[in-house]
Amino acid sequence: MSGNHVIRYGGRLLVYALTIWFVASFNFFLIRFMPGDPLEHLVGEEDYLYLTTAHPEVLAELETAYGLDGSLFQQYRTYLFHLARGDLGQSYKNGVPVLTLILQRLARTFRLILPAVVLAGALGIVLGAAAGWKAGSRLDRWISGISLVIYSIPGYCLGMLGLMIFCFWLGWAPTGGISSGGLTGAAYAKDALWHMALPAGVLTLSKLSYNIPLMRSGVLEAREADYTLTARAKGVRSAQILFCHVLPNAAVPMIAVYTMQLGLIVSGSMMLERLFNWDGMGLLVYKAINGNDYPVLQGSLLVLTVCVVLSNLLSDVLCALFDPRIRDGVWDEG
Amino acid sequence: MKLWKRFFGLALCIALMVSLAACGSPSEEGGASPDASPEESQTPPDAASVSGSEVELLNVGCIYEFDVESPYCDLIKYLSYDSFMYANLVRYDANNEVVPCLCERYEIAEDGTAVTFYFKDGIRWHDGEPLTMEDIEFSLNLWLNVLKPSVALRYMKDVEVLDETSIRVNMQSSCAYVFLRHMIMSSAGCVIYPKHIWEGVEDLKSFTGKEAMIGCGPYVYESYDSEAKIAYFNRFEDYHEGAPSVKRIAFHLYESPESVVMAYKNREIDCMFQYAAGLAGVYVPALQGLDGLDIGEEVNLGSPILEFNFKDTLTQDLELRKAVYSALDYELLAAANGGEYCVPGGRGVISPGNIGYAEDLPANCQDVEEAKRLLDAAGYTDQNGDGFRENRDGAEMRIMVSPAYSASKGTLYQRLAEVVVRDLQNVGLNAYLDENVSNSDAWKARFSQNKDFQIAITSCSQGVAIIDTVNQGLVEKAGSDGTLTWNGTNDTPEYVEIFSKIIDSKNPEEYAAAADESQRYLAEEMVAISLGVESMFYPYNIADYTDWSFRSGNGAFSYDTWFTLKIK
Repeated sequence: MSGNHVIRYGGRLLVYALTIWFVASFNFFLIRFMPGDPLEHLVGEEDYLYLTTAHPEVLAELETAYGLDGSLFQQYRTYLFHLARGDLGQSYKNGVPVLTLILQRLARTFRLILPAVVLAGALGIVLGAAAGWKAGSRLDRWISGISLVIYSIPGYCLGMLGLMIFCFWLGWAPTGGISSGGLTGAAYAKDALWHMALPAGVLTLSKLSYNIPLMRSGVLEAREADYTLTARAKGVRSAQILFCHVLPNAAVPMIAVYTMQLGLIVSGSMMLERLFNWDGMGLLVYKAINGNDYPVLQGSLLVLTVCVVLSNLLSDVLCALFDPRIRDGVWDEG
Repeated sequence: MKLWKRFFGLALCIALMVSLAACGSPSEEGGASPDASPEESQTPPDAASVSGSEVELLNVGCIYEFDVESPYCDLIKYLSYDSFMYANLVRYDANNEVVPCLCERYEIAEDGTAVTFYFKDGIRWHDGEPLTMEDIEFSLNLWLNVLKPSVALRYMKDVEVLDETSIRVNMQSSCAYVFLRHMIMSSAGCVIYPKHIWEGVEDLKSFTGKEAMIGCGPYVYESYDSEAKIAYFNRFEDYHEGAPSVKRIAFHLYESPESVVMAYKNREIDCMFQYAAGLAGVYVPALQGLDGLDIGEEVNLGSPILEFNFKDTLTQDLELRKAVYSALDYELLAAANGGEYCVPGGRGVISPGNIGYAEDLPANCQDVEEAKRLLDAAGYTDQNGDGFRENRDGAEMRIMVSPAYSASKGTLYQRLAEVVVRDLQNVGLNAYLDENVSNSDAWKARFSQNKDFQIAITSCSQGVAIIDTVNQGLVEKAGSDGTLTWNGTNDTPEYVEIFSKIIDSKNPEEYAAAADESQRYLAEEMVAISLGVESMFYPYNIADYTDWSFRSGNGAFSYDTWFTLKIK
């Protein structure tokens, strides 16, 4: 690795570290400007109203107990101090360590979204490549048309449609949840797959409809490129042109898309998790926002930021591996 | 080409493996008992069940969280209002009247400054230990000294153990009866704790686990399956009032009312438990056609209200308040509140179904001409011809209508406030919507701290309505010793005296009489206006079960149901 590479990648790592710090700080201040008082959720609406009027000193005691009494800057300093020690704090609502909550929910979100991203990725490449390679054909019109229709439907609407069709009309899917409970082994696996099928299917469709046009346009562009024309002129077989020349070039932008999708897995899918009663990261964040649970919200957003930054890093590395122009900095250096 | 074939093959293998790995592992919580199969938990009792026999498993839907095994868990907190797992000293009966629960009987001192609870011998905790008076004393002292003064605890002074089966709670003033009404629905954590478990616990909130779930109510905690989101409870065979007829209860936790409706449609649940918040009328059409399901209509004992500020010179004027009353379109307000399942409220503000409800008072009714006449007669006329009335001295008159900030009901208050503004403008009052209360801090400052609103659109919750009536939120100070501060703005001596009668009542009769008197005062003096009486729905399964019992405003999943429910 040359000195230039060291400087470039070192600089990039520094940018990532600064990004994490900046976003963590931004999150800290942003959520404190949200309307609502966490104490209202802690003591209940009626007691809160009563204490505000009759016993404000009790609310002040509670503020101290939850570290909400100091100035914003003091709170920020404490937050960074704890963060440096890897302490994300405890949920205001139930006193459970934030890290424990996040890890538990993360596993569930992974279970829902990872298969969806992988399936949507694989199918997106296949169907997008087919549509792009046979651009203008009936196959292309069908694939592009259907993906456009699905793309234009928001994920939660697709979820509601799925529930209506597969849950109520056909009775094939459960109304929600991760499992039915009380099962182990093969019965549990079968039951979990049954619960996962509809939400994961909806997510797969949703992401697939985004991936297909992207891959299609990449293939279309590569198909018209000079190197493809040269290959054709040399008499190379169509399939060989597709797999050896077109797909490798069209795949580079897809790598960035997939790695970014992986990074966003952590945030879960708030609306879909709520719709399907799937207790993952999306629901955790949703409830933390509603309950002004600052530690959970800060922790979740921080983990999300770190994952997005890491996936960005992964994207850079993979793109550099696949594309020598990026590896050699040709694109970066103009 | 080979490379890409491998790539695709590898990608598909990874997808398959991830799916299988994710779904193939058993639940790490392993909370549910082996006999809690989904088939069992989602189907009604089998055909072999004998008619009239006890219920093996009741599936209950609710929109709560079960995040910790402790009295601070949302689900447990609200179940404690009905003495489910942690029994309370007293509970509400079908009409929300106070009856003994953990205690055998109670006696209120003649002057109302103390209440003595008497207990039977042989009451046991779920772990088999006997309940002692020290447990009660320990718990009430925890409420007083550690849990801080919530609305309920403000009444208590101290606790005295009299002997091995009785204990006395002394009050700050003569409010022992209302204390009983209040203590049933206290804050999270206000339960009767087993001293032998909780004595050494420093941080009540952080103490969780099976031990923290030991109570002496009719149901014993079994497990929570966090993936299935089902909490299981078994009946307590040694419960001092006898074992319930429902042997096992599974609470299915959902995220939204829509999910609950879906669960009803899929026959996953037999009834629902949601404190003071059944399903809204909009869900009724989706449930009405279902066989074997009664939609379980209940009147919401609380209601949205329009509250006048008695610190404001303009809204202090009775004639203006009466004109506002006559100007409002109550049919539209009711429709905006709950569609066809909401009707105009009564002039006495308190909703039907509450103790002491004055049936003879008329329902609210719009009379625009009367409103204009009242305003003209009071000297509020349009002097500069701009279409709006001026103050008596000719100065510009504006009326600010402030909708309460609420995460759950904010949009409703906003909607109601818009109708009120429109109706007031129709009679020439220059009303406008307060746009500065769009967050809780601003609302808190306006309504509770500065008290600088004129007309507030807020509500009386069902809990407050049951405990000590809507007046709690309207009066400023009351109570026999005059030290109790309330949330309202009205300190008119006559009104303070009436509310003092409510909180100083010694028995149900006195309470009902005082509630009745307060409604006549509210109707006459227009302290506040009810903006509608809404129906809530707690559907329940009548195909498989019979002998459901109900608690007013809370539906079929009641304390009594646990003991009366039978297989049909």
